[in-house]
Amino acid sequence: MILHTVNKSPFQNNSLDSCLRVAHAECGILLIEDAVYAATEAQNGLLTEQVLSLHKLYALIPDLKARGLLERVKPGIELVDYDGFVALTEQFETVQSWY
Amino acid sequence: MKYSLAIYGAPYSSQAADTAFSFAEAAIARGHEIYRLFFYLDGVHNASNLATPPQDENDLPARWQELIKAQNIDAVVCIAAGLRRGVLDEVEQQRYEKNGNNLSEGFTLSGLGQLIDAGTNSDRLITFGA
Amino acid sequence: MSNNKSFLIVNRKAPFGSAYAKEALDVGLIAAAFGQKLSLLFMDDGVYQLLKQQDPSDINQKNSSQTLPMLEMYDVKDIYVEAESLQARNLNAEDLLIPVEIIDKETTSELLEQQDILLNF
Repeated sequence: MILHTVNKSPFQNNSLDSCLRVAHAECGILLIEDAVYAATEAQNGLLTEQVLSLHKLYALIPDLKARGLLERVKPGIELVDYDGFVALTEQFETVQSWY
Repeated sequence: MKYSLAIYGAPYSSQAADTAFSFAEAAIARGHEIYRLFFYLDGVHNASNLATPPQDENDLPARWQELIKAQNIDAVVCIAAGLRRGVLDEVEQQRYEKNGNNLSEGFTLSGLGQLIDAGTNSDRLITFGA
Repeated sequence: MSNNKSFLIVNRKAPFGSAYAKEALDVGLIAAAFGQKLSLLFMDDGVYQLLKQQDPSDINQKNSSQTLPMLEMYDVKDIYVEAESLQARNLNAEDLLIPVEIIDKETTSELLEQQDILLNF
């Protein structure tokens, strides 16, 4: 199973949208860098209840903290630090990066 | 496990190289080996010894150099991408009769075959793009 | 250097506006020359790399699309294009320079999951 990493804000380009289009059920999706904005509530946000039930969503703490988002994260997204990021890459067999 | 990281972003221009660095440190802390760091596209700028950021800013090229030395990591800069963007070692400086070279100590210029080899011989190959 | 691991190069960027397209193709040609088990996937703006009639002479760049037929010479025949990316851009197989297999999003999902090594551009 793949761990997808996305690093762009969903308002900047279609990386997260494309990732979600082809992400397999049960895969992991880790939001890093500007993609952590997707972990917050938004009009027509991409991380719907359905998406959150299909895939395992994670967001990187240092990137959330940098952007003042730690208290704005939607429920259903697990927060991880860099140690957790590495641990996810141990657990999932390959990493697909979207930018 | 053996990890290889392919880094496509220049320092400062995007977060890619910085994310890769933090990942590398965390992987080592968890007991993994970094088989190779492969710098491609704008990532070659991480290997320039001319980078001179202000003292109060993160000196990423210097930190890469320290990490590579401390962990004895094979740090490869794609030669074609490097030449194109002005990251040269002494050999290439002579070959092209340029007035300087800037490849940081600990890095080597080599071909894309090293990226393929990294994929073949690592348990995980992760790309960090801008 | 050849072994059993499968490589997939994922191309998502348009040609010319960034270096991704050209430098991804360079990786593909090296992997092919080294006899690796290689497939390519073009999706999102990456499908534009395959468009016929590209002529970058007035923007001072090389025409990478001309090297695409070399892939077949190296026995790289598994070239996939994601259907939705083509449709969104009003393109079909006739608009493309080389023979490709057009796959839907579910098949794309499976393709990604099957690979040992994913090289993203």
